[in-house]
Order: sequence, then structure tokens, then C-alpha cells
Amino acid sequence: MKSVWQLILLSIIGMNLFGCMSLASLSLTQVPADRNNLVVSQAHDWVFMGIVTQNDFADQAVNDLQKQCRNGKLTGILTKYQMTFYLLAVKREVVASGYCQRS
Amino acid sequence: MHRITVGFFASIVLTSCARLDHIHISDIDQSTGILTPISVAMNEQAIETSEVATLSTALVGVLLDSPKISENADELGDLIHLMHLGPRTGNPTSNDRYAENVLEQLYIQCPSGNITGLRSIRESTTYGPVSGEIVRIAAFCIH
Amino acid sequence: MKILSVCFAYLLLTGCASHSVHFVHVDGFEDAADIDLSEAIYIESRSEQQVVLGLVFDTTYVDQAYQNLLNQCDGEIHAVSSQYSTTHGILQWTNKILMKGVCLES
Repeated sequence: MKSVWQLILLSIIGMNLFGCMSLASLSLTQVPADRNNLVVSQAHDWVFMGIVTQNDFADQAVNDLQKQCRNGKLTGILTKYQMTFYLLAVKREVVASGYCQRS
Repeated sequence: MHRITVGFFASIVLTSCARLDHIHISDIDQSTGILTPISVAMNEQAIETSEVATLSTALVGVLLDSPKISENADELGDLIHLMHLGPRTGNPTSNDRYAENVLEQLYIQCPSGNITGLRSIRESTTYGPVSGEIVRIAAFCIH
Repeated sequence: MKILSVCFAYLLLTGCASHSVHFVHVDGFEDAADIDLSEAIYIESRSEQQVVLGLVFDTTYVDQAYQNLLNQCDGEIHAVSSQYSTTHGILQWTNKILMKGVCLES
């Protein structure tokens, strides 16, 4: 009986070390013909006990994307907003990719 | 007592609410022509089966004066909920293809395809456990 | 209890599939005035992710759908729409992505 409880406890700890991921939002913009220059940016933050104080990490993803394509045009932007759930914390992540075109 | 119960359930069903789940607003270009509003709305009837099962079982128990039936109401609702696990936006529908022809409908309303100010909206109108799940794309057609 | 068993058996046999469309996002009409629609073709790609008991560790099915869409068109893809939905089941569900667009070959 004790070993069964230990096994259950280990399973719960194991599952929470990996976390369970879900997609919250997705968007795609017009895709260019020239797709040679792919740029990707990623930003995340942690939410503990469901308390969210700010969403600045989303702006960080945009800024990083812009930095990789200075003086160029970013199109074909795929934006994923995903969340990974752990026991007491949630990791919120914005992953954005696009194609940089420089004239 | 029966009248109060029936009245209570009727008030749940007759009171409607609207809900907004998701909205995205795109660029609006007002510099290249006259804008005519267009809108495509795809909707589908949805029903929260676990809630309906719980409510109807409880109602049957009350009408037949059988506490045993009423006791099983929550269990039946939980069982049905377990059979439909997964992420949800609004109530579940029986069809997931009702919003697939959005692009075609937009081109019908604006054949030139010269569209600006796209708003992607996911909303619903709820009547108790029944709802209309709506995917609406609003925009302006540039002439 | 008898009623419960009958209901359970009925639901199990009928399947009672339920779905939830989370959102549909549409974009990419900026250069539409320059497009000759008679030369454009509709393209679409679908991908799915089976999830059992909520155990899922990535969202690569989104990237798969995107890549499939790109592979169908060598030119520009305008009027893109992306739909995210879920089909519910017994202790498992299927996440689905549908991406559509209008391809203008270069």
C-alpha cells in the first residue's frame, strides 16, 4: 500500500516537472514569396498561484523580432501564445516567427 | 414547491447572456477609397450536455417525488462531462466545420478582395445550458 | 442506478462527439487590389494533435500545419485564415489546426 502511494506521488511529481502545454492563441499574417530569411523570437514569463501582474513579456517578443529585421519588412508572421501548466505555476510563452525582407 | 422549481428552471433557460471570447483587430486603411462595412457570421447551436443531464434528472426527481433520482443528477452530469474532456470555448457543438468557409464568404461580400479593418471575433449568445456559438469576421470593403 | 447504466450505455454506443471552435483569425488582405483572382488558388492545410489525459508537451502541430501550407505555394500567400478547434472525447481530445490562404504563384 505504501509503495502504491509512493508510486502515485512520484508520478505527480514527474508530470509536474514536465508540465502540460496548451495553445491559447494563434495568428498568421500574409506570407511572402521570398522566404530565405526566417527570424524567430520567443519570450515568456511565470505566473504563480494564478496571479498575473503584467503582460510586458508579449512586447518583448515583438521587440526581439524587430531587432532581427532592422530597416526591413517583416511579413508571414506566425504568432503562438502557449501555456505550460505546472503544479503551482504557469509558464506563459509567446513564440513569433516571420520572414525578413530587405530591399 | 413544484411551481417554484419549474419557474426557477424556466428563468435559467429564458434569461440570455452574450459572451465575448476572443477579438483581434487588424490595420484599418481609410486613405485609399470609400469603406463599406461587411460581416460574415457563422454560428452553430451548442448544448452543455452535462448541465442538461443534471438539470433534467433533478427535475424528473422533483416531479416524480423521488429523492433517489435527484441524488443521481450530479453523478450523471459528471459522467457526461468526463466523456467530453478537452479545452473548451463556450459550449461544445456537434459540428466543428461550421466556420471553415469564412474566406469564401468574405470574397462573396467583397469580390475585389480589397479588404481592410479586419476584426476576428469569437462570441456566443447563451440561454441557460444552450447557446449559439458564433465566429464573426467583420471588415470594410474598399471601393 | 438502472437509469444511469442505460444512459451510459446509450452515450457510449452513440459516440456523442462534441467539438469546440476556439477562434478563427483572418488577415493578409493588404495587397488584394493587385491580385488577379483568376490566377490565384485556394490552399489549405490541416494538422491534429491527440491528447490523452491532458498530457501534452509541445505545440509542434501548429508549425506542421504552417509548413504544409508553405509547401503548397511557391509565391505569396494572401488572405490567410487560421482556425483552432478541439474535438472532445472520453479522457482524451484532439486539437486541430486549419490554415487556409490564397496562393499567388510568382
